[in-house]
Amino acid sequence: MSLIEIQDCRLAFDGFEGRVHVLDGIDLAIESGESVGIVGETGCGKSALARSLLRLNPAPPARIVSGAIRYDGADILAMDAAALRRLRGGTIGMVFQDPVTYLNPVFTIGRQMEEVLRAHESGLSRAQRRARCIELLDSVRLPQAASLLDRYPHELSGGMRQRVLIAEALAGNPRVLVADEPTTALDVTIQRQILALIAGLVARLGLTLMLISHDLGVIGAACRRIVVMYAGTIVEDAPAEALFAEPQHPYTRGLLAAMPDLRQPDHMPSGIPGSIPNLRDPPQGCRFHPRCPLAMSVCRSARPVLRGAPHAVACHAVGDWAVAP
Amino acid sequence: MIPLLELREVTVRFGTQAAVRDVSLALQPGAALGLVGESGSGKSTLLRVLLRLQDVASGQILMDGAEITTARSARLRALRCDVQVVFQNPHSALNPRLYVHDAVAEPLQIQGGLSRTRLRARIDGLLEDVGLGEEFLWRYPHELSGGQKQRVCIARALAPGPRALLLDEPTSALDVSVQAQIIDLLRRLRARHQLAFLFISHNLAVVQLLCEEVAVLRQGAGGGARPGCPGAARAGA
Repeated sequence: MSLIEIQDCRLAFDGFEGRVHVLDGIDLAIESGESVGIVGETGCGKSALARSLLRLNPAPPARIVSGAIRYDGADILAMDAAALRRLRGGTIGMVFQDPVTYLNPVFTIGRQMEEVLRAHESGLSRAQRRARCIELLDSVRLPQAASLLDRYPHELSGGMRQRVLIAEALAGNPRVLVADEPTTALDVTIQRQILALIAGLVARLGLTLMLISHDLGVIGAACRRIVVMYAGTIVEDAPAEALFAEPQHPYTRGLLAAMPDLRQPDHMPSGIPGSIPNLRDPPQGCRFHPRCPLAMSVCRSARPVLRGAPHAVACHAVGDWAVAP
Repeated sequence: MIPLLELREVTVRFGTQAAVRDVSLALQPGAALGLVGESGSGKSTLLRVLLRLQDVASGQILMDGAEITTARSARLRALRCDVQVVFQNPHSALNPRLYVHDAVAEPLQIQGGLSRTRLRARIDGLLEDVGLGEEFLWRYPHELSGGQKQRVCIARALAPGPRALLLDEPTSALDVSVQAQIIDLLRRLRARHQLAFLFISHNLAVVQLLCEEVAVLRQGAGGGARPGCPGAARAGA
């Protein structure tokens, strides 16, 4: 049994102008100790997927239409409030994109961290909580942890704030860390430090990592397995080296071809023609077919299945099962 | 050659803090200069100085060799025909209550002198330049994708017929597949209109694709050349 199992998950948001199909039949199994990167562009559903693991999508409007999400065999969709509280932070810790908005500006760092500890380790005395906070800040390599506890978020740089949020995510001793664009709001040089920190913590604490990013470079630096999403579907799921060496899905290839490369000054990145579909009325069949250079008539009618292991791809036009055009 | 735009030992202070210290740089006509640096290094402040949106504590700003450090009204209006800007976030750079047509028409109407039919022809031409068809004329910004909005912003910047575009991270709010389209568009526009670019970015790979020269800013001062970048990297100070 996998640690995290998502089966045929369909998530919709009911809005004023109709239902938006945000996730459409997601199948994903993550083993204990794996580091999985989820990559895709704006609106592909990668954050919605990460949030569904913790049931953080606001419901309503969010609604799981069908499918199952399980952690260690336990059905997350059926959990009551108490079980959810243990799951959130206690079993699965989450780091968000923008360290500025996820810290409360009117409380000190120490007070915010203690709040997390009180929720997950109620038996600690005040002195023990403080000691644990310092230990956590040390573990994310923040110097002078003790004095940091009395500071306010605005006194910290962006990189330091993200370290504090990582420390908070680890406060409940989770087994899984979900990081949603943890480096996007940071400078390039700081990005590398934070990625190295996350990779180091994952290795040292034996965590399972789900890292969400729009940046294949970021994902490639921290994950062994990469899942590519497009318009609410998984189009490719492969070991990192295989994905970079032999991308299969036309969308993955387009994404790689669009990335500027500092080491290849003569390589002119090419964009993917068209734009992402409106998920209120997504294309029939393969959701990528209106922009796909390999599209055939079958792509317009039949939804391709994700198949192949360990390199799985959902496309009618590639792989051993390819349909003749 | 006389630079189109030049900064000489410019210092900008916010209170007692120097955001930019003694920076000199020159943008030649038709050249593309990249300006890189981390957050807080003074990139955007320099851009505001060049647009005369930000006063300097000391130093000079020159355009075509003439000082414009303290130029006012009419002189400034002429300057802004020659030097236009495209901002980072296309989602906040367009007035949500203006049609694409009106957003692009506004700078032309400020210039004046165009008849109704010539105005419309000019707008059609500008949109075609940035790869948007006639069907976009009567759309509001919220009906456009990020890449389409940035194309509108570029069309609006081209409207007065500038000689230089100041581009402040024009692709960093966009997806990579869209970023590649915008980079390609900017390269073609530069060749077609003989534009000079001042391109601000934190992404060296993107700078490399658009610029022949790179200046590096660090903590408000021009720093050394950076190996690995094309052309002779040159920085002020």
